[in-house]
Amino acid sequence: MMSKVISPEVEHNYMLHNGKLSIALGLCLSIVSLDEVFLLSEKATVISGSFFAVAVISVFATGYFLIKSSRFAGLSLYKNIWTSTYNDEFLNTVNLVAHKLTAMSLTAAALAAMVFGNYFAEIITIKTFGKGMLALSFLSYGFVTFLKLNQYDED
Amino acid sequence: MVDGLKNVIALKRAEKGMSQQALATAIGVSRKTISTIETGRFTPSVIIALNLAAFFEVKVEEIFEVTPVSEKKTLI
Repeated sequence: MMSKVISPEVEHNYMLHNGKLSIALGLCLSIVSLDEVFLLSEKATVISGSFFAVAVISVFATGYFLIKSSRFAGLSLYKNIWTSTYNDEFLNTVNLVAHKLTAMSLTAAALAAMVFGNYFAEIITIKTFGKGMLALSFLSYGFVTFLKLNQYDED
Repeated sequence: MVDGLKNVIALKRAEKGMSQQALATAIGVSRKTISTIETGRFTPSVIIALNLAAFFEVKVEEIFEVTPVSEKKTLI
């Protein structure tokens, strides 16, 4: 059976979409984890109002990008999804840079947790910490891919 | 720009009157790959370099020029 080849443009759009979805998801998770730590929704009206506004926007953005993901359905993106590799060299490089920076930021967060963990043990549960780490990984990957893919548009 | 690597892809492309997108499609890469190679922000693999050379019907050395190691900073 002849395998379909995904064009670089489709891969580019797919990666950019993933970056935006990662940012929206990361924002959602960071809001949830921040609320669990600082109880933002129970604070003064201004703070809780702003918190709800950001929460609503991020939830809608996540939903929007998840629905938009359907346009990639039916394409042979198995390689991109399961091995996180791209046929296009530039996209592959951006993907690797994003993964490296994500790994570095997670390592830094884990290091901070190892050193200062005792001070926050009473206010941060392991579940919240997990959400925070997940939020950090989504935000790092999303921002790096989004910025790198838009960085050279003036060329 | 990548230290010591220069290229004349933009010049060769202009000679043919091609856009970055047209060249990208011709050798099967994204437009971003071409634009970042042209500006020296991205160093392509040997495969892309050979594809570019084959497309312009020249030798790779006529497209890419690398500064010899001896002219660069002293290696530790």
